[in-house]
This record gives sequence, structure tokens and C-alpha cells, in this order.
Amino acid sequence: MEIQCSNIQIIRGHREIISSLSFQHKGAKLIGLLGPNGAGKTTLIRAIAGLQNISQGELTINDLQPQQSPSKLAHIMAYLPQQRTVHWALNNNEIVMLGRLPHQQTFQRPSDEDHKIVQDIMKTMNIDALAHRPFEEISGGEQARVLIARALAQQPEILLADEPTNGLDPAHQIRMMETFQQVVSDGCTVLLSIHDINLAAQYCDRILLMQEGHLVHDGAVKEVFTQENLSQVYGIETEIRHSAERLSVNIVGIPAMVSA
Amino acid sequence: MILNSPLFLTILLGITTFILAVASLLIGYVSIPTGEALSGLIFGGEEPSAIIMREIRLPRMLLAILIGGVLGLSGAVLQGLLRNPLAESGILGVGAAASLGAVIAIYSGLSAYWAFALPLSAQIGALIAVLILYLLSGRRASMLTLILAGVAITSMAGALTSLALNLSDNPYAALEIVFWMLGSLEDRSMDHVILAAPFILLAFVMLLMTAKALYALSLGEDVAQSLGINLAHTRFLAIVGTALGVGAATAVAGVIGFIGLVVPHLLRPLVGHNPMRLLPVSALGGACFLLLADILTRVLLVDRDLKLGVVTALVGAPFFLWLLLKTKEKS
Repeated sequence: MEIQCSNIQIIRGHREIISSLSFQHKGAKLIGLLGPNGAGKTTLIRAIAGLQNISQGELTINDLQPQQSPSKLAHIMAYLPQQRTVHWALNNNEIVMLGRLPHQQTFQRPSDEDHKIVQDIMKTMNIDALAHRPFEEISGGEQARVLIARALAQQPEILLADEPTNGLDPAHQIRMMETFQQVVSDGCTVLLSIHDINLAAQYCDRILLMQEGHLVHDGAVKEVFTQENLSQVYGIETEIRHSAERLSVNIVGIPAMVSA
Repeated sequence: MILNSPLFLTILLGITTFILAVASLLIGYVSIPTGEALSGLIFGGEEPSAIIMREIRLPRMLLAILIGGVLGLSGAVLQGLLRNPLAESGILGVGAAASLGAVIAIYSGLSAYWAFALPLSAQIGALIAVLILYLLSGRRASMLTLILAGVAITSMAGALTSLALNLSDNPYAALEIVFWMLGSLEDRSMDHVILAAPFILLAFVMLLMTAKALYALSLGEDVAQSLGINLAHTRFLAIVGTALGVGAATAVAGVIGFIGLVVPHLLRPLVGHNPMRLLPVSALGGACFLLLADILTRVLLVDRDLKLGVVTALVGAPFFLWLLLKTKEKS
């Protein structure tokens, strides 16, 4: 799997949402996309998913342009939006089965293999007991797992997730990040946007830090999460502790507010 | 478990359609013994019973299946596309716009020159209505926007239909408007079947092709696209398919409302609320519903000439109100 993003610019209306942004990625890693609200994280993820027009520059996934070949890309890329909306009272099994759609012809029914894949994924995600329950009747954490299972049923090489931990309690957030880690160890790249700096520091292999449509810092956790960078991007004062295995960020305050 | 399977439901509806189709052939103003009716139907002949069977009851039965089927199917497709259980061609004004198209074809004299002008003109009316609805309702249509759009289209089409009749010198104009507004399958011939069938069959194919896309749309447009669904293609199939089907249906039978609302709604829980599996059963369910309603017009108030559109509206309108209340409670 290879993402190539060179000098992309995205304009919506008269506003430039993304400006000359470039990055490359190869191989299965957990990539965290961070930045303040309005930095352009969702827009970037949607552009990679082929849901957003690019005004300039070039964006390719395995040499395919997202908007040119949506059906080919559906075989290798899955997209998980922030909203956990399901419009009809489908049961969870039917939702996960949607992930097999790109692998079927127009009038083709799900094959035995499709059923097997869905069953296995639901088991791994620990939602097999919920298979025949309606989506609207299960808890928020369970819903999040069902929707990830749907994306994984696509058997993607790259998974794009827009704030997947949003609205989840701390235990569910950790479990979700562990799931993504597992997915990465199975050979899939995960690119997710996230607000929790510590969660990102603990689980991500690479951090993309965005500000006002620019990619301002890019690298390993230790390189990106420094006091200077976080102060520059978020305007927050932080203390950073390094232990043997992990880095933790303690947010001390917001200088601007203190002085005000 | 087997009772819940979509295949079982499909077979059950298929058998019901067959039984109602046979009943539709055997029940009528003139009572014909079953044996005589069937032999007349199969072997033909000059006897009145054979003529009644072949030229009156057979086309009527075929039209009920085709029209009921396409109305049920298009309702299920519109609901899936707009992700709104209240979407239906009648409520949304598609039927009224189609009937306006038909009236224009009749009063301009076009239909007298070329038989296909009638269904084509009705289809253009329906197409314009569906396009307006789609543009008005946009990406996230609220229930209110959609229904109000339907009210606006229905009123506009109704006013223009009245204007066409108002300006016409034809003394039979009033009768015609009643015909279009009430909807009926009486006195239809095989010519009507031949006129409507190609369009309705094409509509069936187009609408059924949206099945997977509608399933994917359960998770919203973005996810559907990321699953490789071509939304522009899906909208084209759904909108043009509805226009072809409802247009042709209205051209030969007038406005028959509520089938596309009632039938998918009743069947949805039986197919696990899956918009893909809802399509074939809604087509069969629509055929059953219209066959049954058409039989009812022949057995209830026999001497008063009950119209088909009246029967479907009498069932459908209270159902629509109930559905509105239920949706309101839920939100």
C-alpha cells in the first residue's frame, strides 16, 4: 500500500481548506492525524477517500486516483466517517455484510466466503453475539465496533477513520486503538484523525500535525509532540514526560486565556 | 426462522399474486362459469365469454400486476434513495405530474396522431416532478421538505391540468379529469397493455438495478461511495426508472396513489429492513395490492361503479396519517 500526496490544494467556496500539502506513506502503520478544529483533517481524509475534489496537486493510492477509480479502490480502501448513522433498522450482521459489497457483482448474492469473512470479523470484534440485533438497540461502543467491522469486512489495505474515538468512554477508546493496532499488525495501514494527544502518542507510529490547512509537522511521536510544536499549533502550554516506552503529554493551560 | 427468510416471503407473495390474478379473471359483472372462463381464455373463440375473458379481463389483470408492481417497486426505491419512509410517487406529486403530461398529450391532440405520445408525455411529466423533488430535497431531505415539495408539485400539476381542461372546447373534458384523478383499470384493452408494458418492464429492470446501491446508502452517501457505488448512476436509474414506470402506469390507469407507501412499509420489517431485499417483494406486494383493490371495486358497491384510485386512497390515506404520527413520535 502506498499513499502519494503531492502539493494538494483544496478550495471550497472561496476558502482554501488545504494548502500545498504533501506526504508519502508506504507500509502498514498507524498514522495519527491531529490538529485543532478546522485544521482540515476531515477534508484531507475525505480527499484520500475520493469524496472530495482536489483543486490542485496529485493524490494517488497505489497509483490510482481516488475519484477516477472508486470501484477499484473499494477493494483496497475503507472509509469510516465520524457520524455513526444507519438509516434503516438493519441488524448488525447486515451492516457488516455491506463491507462485502465491492467484492460482489450487481445481482450476486453473498457467497459462503463472504459469510465466513463477516462471521470471523464479528468474532474478532467481539460482536458476534449481537449479529441479529438491530443496530439502533445496541450501545454507542458496540455501534462503533459494528461499523469498524463493516470497514474491515472490505478487507482493505488502508483504513481511513475520521475521529473514530469520538463519543466513546476511555475504556472503549483504548479498546478501539488496540483494535487498530491489531489491524495494522495484520498488514493494513490505518490513517485516523484524533483529538486525544495522549492516545495518539501511545498508539500511533507516525503523526501528521495540521494547522489551518497546512501539514506543519510530520514524523514519529517523539519528534512531533514537543512543547514548542504543541504550543505553536494548539496554543497550549504542556509538560512532556518520556518514560521507557511511551511519551505522555500533560496540558498545563492555555496562556492566552490565563493572561486574559 | 424459515418464516422470516426473504425467499419464503417472495414465494408466498408470488403464490398470492397468482391466486389473486386467477381471481381477478374469474370475478366480474358478468358471471362466467370457471371452466368456460378458462377455456375461453386459453382457446379463444367467438362466444361472449371468450371475448370477455380475452379482451376485458385479461388486460385488466395484466395491467393490475404491471402497474401495482411498478408502483410498489418505485415506492421502495424512492424511499431507499431519499432514505425516507414517507417517499412515494403519489404523495410526492409524481402521479399528478404524470397525469398532467397525459392530459396535455390528449388535449394537444398529439395522442390521437401517435399512440405512444400519451405514455411519453406522462413520463416527461413524471420525470420533471422527480427531478424537482430531488433538487429540492437535496442531500439530507427532511421529511417536511419532501412532503411540502410533494404538495407544491401536486398543486401545480393539478392547477395546470385544470387549466388545460378549462381552455379546452371538448365537452367531455370534465369526464376526462375525473378519469385521471380517480384512477381506474376498467375497459382497458390489450392495446393499453402493449402501450404500457415495454416502459414498465424497462422501469422494473432499471429500478431493480439500484438494489445494492440502496443497501449501501443505508450508511449514508459517503460510505456508499467509498464502497464503490456510483451515486450519479444510481440516481439516474432511480429517477428515470420511476418516471418511466409511474408515467406509463398513469398514462393507462390515471393516478393510483399510496401503493408505493403502504406496500414497502408493511413488508420492510419482514425483510430485516434491508432496502435491497425490499425491492422484489415490494413489486410482488404492489401487484397483490392492486389486484385485490381492483377485485374490490368489482364486488363492493357494484351498481355505483367504484373507482380503483378511490379504493387505494381510502386504504392509503389513513395509513399515511398513521405513519406520519409514528414517525413524529420516533423523532
